[in-house]
Amino acid sequence: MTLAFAWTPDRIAAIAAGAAACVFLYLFFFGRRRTVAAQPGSGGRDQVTVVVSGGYRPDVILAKKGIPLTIVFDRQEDSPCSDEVVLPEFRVRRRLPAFRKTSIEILPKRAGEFPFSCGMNMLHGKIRVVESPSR
Amino acid sequence: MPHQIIDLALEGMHCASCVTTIENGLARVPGVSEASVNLGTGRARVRGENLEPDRLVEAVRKSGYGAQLAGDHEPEEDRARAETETRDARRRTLVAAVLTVPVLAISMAGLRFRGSDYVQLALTLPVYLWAGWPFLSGMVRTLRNRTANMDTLVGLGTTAAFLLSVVATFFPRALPPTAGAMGSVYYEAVGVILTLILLGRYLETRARSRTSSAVRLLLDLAPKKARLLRDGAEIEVPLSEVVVGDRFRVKPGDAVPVDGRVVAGRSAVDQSMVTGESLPVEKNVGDTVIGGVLNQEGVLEIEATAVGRDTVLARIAELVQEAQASKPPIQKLADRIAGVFVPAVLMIAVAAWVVWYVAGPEPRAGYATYVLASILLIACPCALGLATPTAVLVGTGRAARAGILFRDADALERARRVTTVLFDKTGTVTEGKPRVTDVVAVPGIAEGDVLATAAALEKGSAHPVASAVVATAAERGLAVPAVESFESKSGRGVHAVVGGRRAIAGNVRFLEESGVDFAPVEDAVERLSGDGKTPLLVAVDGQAIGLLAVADREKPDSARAIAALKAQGLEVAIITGDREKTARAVAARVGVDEVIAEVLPEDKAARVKELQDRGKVVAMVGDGVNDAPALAQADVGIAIGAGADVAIESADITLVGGSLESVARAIALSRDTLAAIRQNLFFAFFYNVIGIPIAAGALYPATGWLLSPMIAAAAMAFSSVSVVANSLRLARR
Repeated sequence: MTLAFAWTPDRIAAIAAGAAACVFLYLFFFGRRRTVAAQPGSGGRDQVTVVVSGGYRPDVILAKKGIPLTIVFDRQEDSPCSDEVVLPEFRVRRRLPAFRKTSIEILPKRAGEFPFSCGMNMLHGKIRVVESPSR
Repeated sequence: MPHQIIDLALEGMHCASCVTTIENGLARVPGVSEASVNLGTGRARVRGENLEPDRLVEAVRKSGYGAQLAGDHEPEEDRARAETETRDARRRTLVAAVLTVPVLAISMAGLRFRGSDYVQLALTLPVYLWAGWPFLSGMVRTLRNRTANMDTLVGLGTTAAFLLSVVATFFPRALPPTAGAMGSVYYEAVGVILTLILLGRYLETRARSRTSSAVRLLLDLAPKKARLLRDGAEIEVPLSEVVVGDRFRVKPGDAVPVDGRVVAGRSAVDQSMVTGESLPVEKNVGDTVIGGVLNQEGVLEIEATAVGRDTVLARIAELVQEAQASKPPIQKLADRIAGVFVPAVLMIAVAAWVVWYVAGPEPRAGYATYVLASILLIACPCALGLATPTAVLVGTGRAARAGILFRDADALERARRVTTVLFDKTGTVTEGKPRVTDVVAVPGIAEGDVLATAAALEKGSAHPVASAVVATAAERGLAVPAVESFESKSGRGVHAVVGGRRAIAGNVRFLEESGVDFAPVEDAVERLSGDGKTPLLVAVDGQAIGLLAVADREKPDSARAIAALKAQGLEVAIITGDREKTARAVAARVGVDEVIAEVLPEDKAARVKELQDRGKVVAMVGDGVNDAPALAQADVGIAIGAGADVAIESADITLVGGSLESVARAIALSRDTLAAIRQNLFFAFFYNVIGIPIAAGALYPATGWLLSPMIAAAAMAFSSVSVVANSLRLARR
């Protein structure tokens, strides 16, 4: 194989397109994410529903320190990639049955960002715990 | 009438008002005193008397919701779901294989005929769309969420190969003429890729379900039914109906259904599945029995002391599941890589496509797409993602079946590095049931007086030695005088006023500190200590009147267990509050060379720290109660003989049974699990680090060799299967 080639317009276009694609991929996967705050639910708990379908929607949950939180994972697919959810900080590894809602109850004890992911750590989300306002 | 608790699994609830509706519906059922519904867990807990599960389920149905008895519900559903998934995967794999064989024959055997491309397209279309549907739909879902996983890679890879072929079929001139080994259509590649990846996923799903089966096996130890004794008759009822206080009968060969206390009969039970103890354990009236153990030759009548989620077995299962949810530190790097893996592979694929398009041989577009597909297909995020969790699942599950409970994956990882195992003597190396073996009195004093004085002093103490002394005095029918101003000095002894005189009982150090002259018994102290007995000196008004020797038998398997630890290359030492001479005698009998004696309970943690400062990684083995600070200080705290109290705070590892052999097994399992994790991680990294450049054509300039996307797909399919299979090997240790 020789590296001699002419800089034809299609070759230049390919390089430009490739560079653009890489930038796009980076922004697409690592760009800003939508944050949803958990809402007060029943019994003094906050609640948030996360749709599981090729990822978590929303994937950033805002929670308050010291307020118990129920995360309802609504799994709308049967791809084995999302059949488990892991919340390492809260020592939870739970199977999510396909096309069902699974509730996970946690108590955020300290402020910070705590990731959650699928069993293989491909799909990601995080729980951002903030100090709860004094009442 | 006994109080009953029944848990129901509810369906169809979605808001707080559902909670009220169901609670009200349940409350109207006769016998129900309280019903509480948890929206989060989807469960109802009903308390009351004479509850009939059927009527409760019916009441929920009438309120417009679904319900089943909790417990039977989830495993059934899990199993049904797993079966459906497996059937579906098998069907897709088979269809893909059957349709791909003729396509492969046409392309490989070079069966070129008019319209052969169209025939291949017709055969491949259902493979791509139907068999490959899980990947295609998964790809769309992940991209909608701006995430990516294996579905994304496989979906994009096969789509690239398929579209290229379709273009070549309908617009052959749109692509440059074929060159060398490159065919113009890659239908066989699409078919083979999907068949192989489906097969790999099918095998992986099956293997993965086995990685988490240990907990299920543990829960399955308890039989589904119990033979309840009601009004003198024996009736068989489902386990969910057994309540605390119920009496039930266990026949020889049957498993004990729930935790309880023996109220009649005697037998030996095989606890090996729960505690890991290899020898059967004798059970008499008053003894506690753990649910799930196997009754051997006698008939036992047992009163239930814990049912449902409160049983030892259920709590073990819960602890194991918690440990399995944690991540060992070794996983951190893999996690960081896995998190960016797929986007990174996509970028590498794009870059490779550009390089091939710009600088590659003709047909450039064909080669570039071929390479792009290979990269997308060979990259395997799953192997990386599965490497640690599967090994942790299998390792902790295997340990649990031997009565070894790791608190988390971190403890599992740390146990591997242990260099020194420190055993607390009493109750750990020995049985913790001391007996009085000798009573020595100074001339002029009756043995009975020595014993009676000691018993009077020890009556107020909770120490096991104290109970032995009091029991011996009672056996001999001695009258034990009353005491005043009792005071106990932990790890030393006790003093009080007995019959108006100041009396004291304790070890040599305590008597020395108290200024007691014990010269008359010094010879006896030395002689008895040399036999491994603990001398308990008794003095009245500053004069020793005699001593008692207390001895504790070593556990029958202590020596074997210590030999096993030494065989693993570990240093073994005993730490005790006893005299050096006593401790050395016991140590010699069980094969331990190093003894740290005369350590006060509160100083044990400091001694552990000293060892750590000398560079040792210390595992401290104790009962987890008296030596909690030492366990917490140690690199790995091991609580032994936890029995029903499985959740010991200070322990990194809890041994349900009392056998020391579990210590060696726990360390061996930790080493094996970590070895498996390392092999898995190495394999997963190595595979991707080598595989991706080869797929990108790194070997092409030198050798002219390009990896076929089909080989790439095969490699990828079996890389994750091999990681899971490697983890599963742990289950057989």
